[in-house]
Amino acid sequence: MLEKRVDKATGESLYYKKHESGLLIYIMPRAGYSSNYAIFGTRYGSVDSKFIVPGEDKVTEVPDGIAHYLEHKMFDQPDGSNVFDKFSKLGGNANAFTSFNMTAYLFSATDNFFDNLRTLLDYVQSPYFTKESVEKEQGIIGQEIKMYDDNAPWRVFFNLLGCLYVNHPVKLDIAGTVESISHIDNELLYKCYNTFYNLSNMAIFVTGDFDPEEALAVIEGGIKNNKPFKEEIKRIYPEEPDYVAKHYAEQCISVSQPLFMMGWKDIDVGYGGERLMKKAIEMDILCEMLFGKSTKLYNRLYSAGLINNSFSAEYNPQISYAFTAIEGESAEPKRVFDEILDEIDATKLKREDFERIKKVCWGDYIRSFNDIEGYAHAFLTECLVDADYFDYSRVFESVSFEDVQSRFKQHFVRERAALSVINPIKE
Amino acid sequence: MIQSKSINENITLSYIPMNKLKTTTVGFYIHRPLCRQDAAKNALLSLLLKRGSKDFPDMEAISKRLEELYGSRLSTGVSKKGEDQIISFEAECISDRYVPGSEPLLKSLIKLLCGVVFEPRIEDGGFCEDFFAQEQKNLIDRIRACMNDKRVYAHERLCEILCEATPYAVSRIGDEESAAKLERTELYEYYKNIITSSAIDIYVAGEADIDDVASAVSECIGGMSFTCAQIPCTKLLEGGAKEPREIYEHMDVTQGKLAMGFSTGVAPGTDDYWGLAVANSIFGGGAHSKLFNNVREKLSLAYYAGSQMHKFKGFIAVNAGVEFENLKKAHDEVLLQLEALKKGDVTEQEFTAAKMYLINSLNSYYDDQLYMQSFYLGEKIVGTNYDVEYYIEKITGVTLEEAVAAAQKIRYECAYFLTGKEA
Repeated sequence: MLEKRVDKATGESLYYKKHESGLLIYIMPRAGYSSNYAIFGTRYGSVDSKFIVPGEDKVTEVPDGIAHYLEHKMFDQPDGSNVFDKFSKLGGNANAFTSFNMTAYLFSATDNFFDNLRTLLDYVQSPYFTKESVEKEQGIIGQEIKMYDDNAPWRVFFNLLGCLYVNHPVKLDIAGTVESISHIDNELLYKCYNTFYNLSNMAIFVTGDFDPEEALAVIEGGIKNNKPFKEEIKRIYPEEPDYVAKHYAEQCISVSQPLFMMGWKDIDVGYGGERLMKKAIEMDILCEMLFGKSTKLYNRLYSAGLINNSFSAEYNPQISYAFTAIEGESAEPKRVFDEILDEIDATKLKREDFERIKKVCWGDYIRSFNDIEGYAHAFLTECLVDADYFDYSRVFESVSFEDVQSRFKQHFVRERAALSVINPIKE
Repeated sequence: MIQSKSINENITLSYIPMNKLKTTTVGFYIHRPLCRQDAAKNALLSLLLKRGSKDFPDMEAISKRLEELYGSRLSTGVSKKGEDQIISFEAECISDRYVPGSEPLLKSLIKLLCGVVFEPRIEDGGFCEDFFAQEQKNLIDRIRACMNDKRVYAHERLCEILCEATPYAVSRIGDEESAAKLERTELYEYYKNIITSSAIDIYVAGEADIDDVASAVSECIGGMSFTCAQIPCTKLLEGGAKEPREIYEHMDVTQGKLAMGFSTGVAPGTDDYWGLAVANSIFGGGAHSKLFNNVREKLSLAYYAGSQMHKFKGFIAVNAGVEFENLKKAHDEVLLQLEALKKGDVTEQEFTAAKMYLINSLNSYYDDQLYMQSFYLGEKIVGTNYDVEYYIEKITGVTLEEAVAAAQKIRYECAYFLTGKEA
């Protein structure tokens, strides 16, 4: 049976069930929507290259980039076709992505939602890799990696992570390197698949204009034989010190003017759930209070021509790591960096700003229901850190000005800040 | 479903009820003919006007106001639909029913927006000197930044080459030389002139009362007098005059880019248009297409390979990111796939998938207010004023023969290759 919950603020409902296979099932009906959307995700991303399979004693270590490689290879069908063909036939628009902590398979469809859903469930549970098909992918992924090599916003981001982290694999490229992926073969792919695609490590979220019980029947009918793990998959991350690897990095790429990303490493990590959600809300409020477009800092830097409207700040919460990142374009990134650090030292937070910014965050929360895909991603992202996005309003209400003040002192520490710069290539 | 109302001879207000969404979106769209001498002016206006209005004199005041309105959003910019350069002002708030007890958000937001568009902050007969200097620099930086994303850059260069000597070759944000020459009092004179002599479309999508919006706008423009204006027209690209051209450019990049241009001679909304839309979808419209399945999947030449219709101007552009030494190979494969399409070498699966893909996208407009506004704005510009339902009906009715017949109008015009530095 589905458990039903209702959100007070919006009147939207969420249905939930934990299936005997271990799969978490979430269904959110949205009457009147033309599109329907499903996302089927596993708690497995680029940072999970070292782990102990439940029931084994020894540590398994796999090449960097394998989670992403596996995602690509999941599209191959035993008959040599590509699963996109099946979705196309049904009018489904399918895709997938791999992030640091998640691999997800998704589609949107205005028609044939249940048939598309059956296809999604089927292919994600049907790995099929051959030596040839695995080798073929080296070319495509090689081009994907090279595309990112020329992508300045991507490079500035990874160079910042390289500053903030000494050992944590979050600093490594999600797709790996041309060299690391050359070590991937079908056996390794099966090993990772059988570990991380166990349904007890996965969740599915479906949303759109349909009956939740019918959707549940389709999902349950599509679940293949799966023995849930009794223990957790043990993920092994190297010991990460509190200090940053370095405070500065730069690289030259063919761009017209320098771009930068600066960040603070969060050392209050190691937990998920509601506690993490509360921290993330505090940090979202802080980012707006400190760096938003109504702040003195923003307006001073903007008027001085040191930043433009590409300037934005964001907090990235995960269980094993977290950081704040500010990105922007500037002719003088180092000056921006110094001015921001000085401003933070001199800042005294104001309660009236806190109250106003809380309105902004509430508006953002209400708005997040609009885009069913965005909502599904937000929900699944929370779900995979053991938090519940449907609890947002309750947790949000619990955040006080005092919470934000102490978070501010704890997080924005000069010694844990770093700057990454991309400079134009000098002719 | 759409309701329209004339505010005066130039300004039309349209309301699209979409109250299943939790926000309401308002867009002001000023139509200007796309041309080299004015493109940078319009782009700079879009940046300057949001710096301050009579009531909210600077960015800090505007931002604070938006924050008080529960994080309402305001963005301005320029876009081109054919040879119509549109200066746009788009704002969005959460619908009033989610903030009981608060001031009415939409009404306050429209007031703010009207101020930004019609009552800019002025000093000594021009735009504020500081704002002007900062935004002129920002515009020049943006023009220079067009080369940053090589995928977009290659596509823009192709359009420029393909449409040379027509207004469509002009960049949406103008060129650096024109931007550098602008001056704050002259630009203000230009603004005063165009604001009362351009066609302006206002769209509201979400939950609103069209009469309330109309009276708020009327109130703001009460003292202004307007001269009647038309929406700019676009001349279709004339192809076929020359042999296909190949242009090579070099930059310091790791991956090469291939862009190819094809004329069609088909105007939007005409009988051939629907078949062409399906043909393009088969050719390179997504993961179901010939380009995706051959250039990427079969030959492993690219991570992305696809085609895109420029429907107002009547051409198709193909884009792919490819290893330098494979650029020519990918180019030849694109032409091979086009030939196959023209010969009717299309499977039932390719054909139905291509149609469903288009219908899927059209249906999804119902879930997105900005897409919806953009769709109706496009119809207004073409002059057809069809609705989404009509598009779906027409696409559904396209036969394979019609798609293939339309494909035969596609003519290869030129290729643009972006490669690495020569050794």
